[in-house]
Amino acid sequence: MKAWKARPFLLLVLLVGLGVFTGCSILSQEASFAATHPEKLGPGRPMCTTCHDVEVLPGARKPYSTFDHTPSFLKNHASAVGRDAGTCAVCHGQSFCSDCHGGKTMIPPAVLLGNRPDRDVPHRAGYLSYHQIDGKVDPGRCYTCHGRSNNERCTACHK
Amino acid sequence: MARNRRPPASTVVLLASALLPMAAPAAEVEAYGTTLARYYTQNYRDLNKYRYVPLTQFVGIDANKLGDTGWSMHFYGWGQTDLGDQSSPSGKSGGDLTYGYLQYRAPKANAEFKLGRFAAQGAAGQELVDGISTRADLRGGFTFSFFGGKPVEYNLEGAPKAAPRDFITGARLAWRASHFGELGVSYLQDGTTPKDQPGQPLLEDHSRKLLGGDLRISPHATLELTGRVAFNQKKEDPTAPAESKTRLAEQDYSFSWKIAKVVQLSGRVTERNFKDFYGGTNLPFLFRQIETEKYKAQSGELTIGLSSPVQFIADYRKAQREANGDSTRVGGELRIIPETFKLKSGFGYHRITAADVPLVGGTVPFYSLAHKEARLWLLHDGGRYYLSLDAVSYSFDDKNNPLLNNEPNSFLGVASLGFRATSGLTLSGDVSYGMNPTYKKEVRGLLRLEFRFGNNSSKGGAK
Repeated sequence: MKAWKARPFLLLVLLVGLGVFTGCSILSQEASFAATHPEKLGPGRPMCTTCHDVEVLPGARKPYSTFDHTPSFLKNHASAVGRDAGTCAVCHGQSFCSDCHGGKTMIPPAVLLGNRPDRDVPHRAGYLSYHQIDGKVDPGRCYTCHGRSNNERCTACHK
Repeated sequence: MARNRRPPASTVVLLASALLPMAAPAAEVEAYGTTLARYYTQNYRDLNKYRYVPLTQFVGIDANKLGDTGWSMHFYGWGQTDLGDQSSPSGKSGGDLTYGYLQYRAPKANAEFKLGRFAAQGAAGQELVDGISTRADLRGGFTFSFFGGKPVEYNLEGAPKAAPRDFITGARLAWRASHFGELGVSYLQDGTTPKDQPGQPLLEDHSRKLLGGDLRISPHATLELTGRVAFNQKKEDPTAPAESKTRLAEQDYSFSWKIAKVVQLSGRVTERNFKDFYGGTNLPFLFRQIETEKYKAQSGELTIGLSSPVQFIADYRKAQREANGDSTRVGGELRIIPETFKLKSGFGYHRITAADVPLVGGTVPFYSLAHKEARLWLLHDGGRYYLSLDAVSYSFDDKNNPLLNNEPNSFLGVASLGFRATSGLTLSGDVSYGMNPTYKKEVRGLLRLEFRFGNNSSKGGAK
């Protein structure tokens, strides 16, 4: 025991090595997702099942239909990201997410993407005026991004 | 309470820029961004007029296959300056590194490692974190993910301060049965209780400890059932021994069923205890929509025309708040996205009703929030050029609603014309006109230059 105490660096290297060895031995041997989608996708919201039918996406172990960009998938995309962010990354860079989830960005998503009315972005049409109505009608969705301790945007005016 | 001192945004951007030469040995480098020059005036109903001229620059760089390996670097940030009146509570100029991280993607097991500033999706909303994250698929269908670091906050000079969040960490272990489903357990700890207020009811304490579980069942490719539940394990008042340590923070269940190839029915039931799920709000008392109350929502959606050029979506949503009654939103949207024809269009109409709001000391005892929302959009994409129109209107039932300043109608119309000079360079301009209860007239003009250069233009903002 004394010998290990005298050589803490060696102990650390051994522990890290053991951890890496154990970690690697329990890793799946399946190939990772492709870094990018091999085929160019058509216009509009992609439906994976147009090409992939009912087969299972390796790695995710889910049918491709799980990732069809249906209206309900788009509204509930947070849970898909939580489980399978790597699948999203095949087509989307993080900058795509940052269009709406930019944190400190000073420009509303609807203005940034004013040339993309086909995209479902929040805060269209004079939202500064409408937010006091929306916040009373259905406050549940505000707090995903605003009003928590993650930002002071609200408290800048509501002191 | 002393606040953590943070480096100014400009310092972070400069430090990140200094790392960019590391991208030189990358096999695939892509730079992209958007330059926005805006001009808009706002005529308040109290006759004050403002003229805003903000210039905004977004820049992103992705350097993939560093040294022909799985390592990559990703940066995205923005800067803005006002040439007219101040347009943001943050000041007349500002900037931020939205994300910047070094990443390793292994060829097997979807194993991944990130170091730097990145987005983490842990338990409640999206968080930007300065720290590390890792994930990997394990043998036997298991998958594991972890992130930890310091949460990125949007701090403003002069805004009331809450206790700073010192760290956030989350982990999830799940088991996936191929095709059939997934079962996961997760834990999120967001911050620690401030040490300089021992034994006090901590109104500023936004820390939380969420222990959660999630389930996904898909007995057939056309049917999916999901469920998620999280309990807050943080003890609210350390001096109260009788207090339950575990409280329901969230439960969320959904289903989606493709009844036919082109028809999908979906539904969702959500219950959230705001204080436990979000760790509370930093809004002052008068503006708090929430604190300890429970919030429930039920929603349903019927989509006709999945994978079709013509798609109709009927939707219903009911929100229930313990203190303020119910609200409903019901309506539909028609989307026409032809594969060959160049004109895309959409039309939506929704009716929103809500319980009356008591008005203390006003001329009427209650006021109504009920209103109608309509939206029409068109997008003509001719390849070299495109033209879009977007119009949204709100019409309120109750003119006595004090939030409306006697103006029960709102409107905004946006027209945009774009020209694609090359595959990586697009110039566009927007003009918008609107009026609403806050602004008697709002006119905006915007010039937008989008660029994307490099040898890896297959993803990113393009989709």
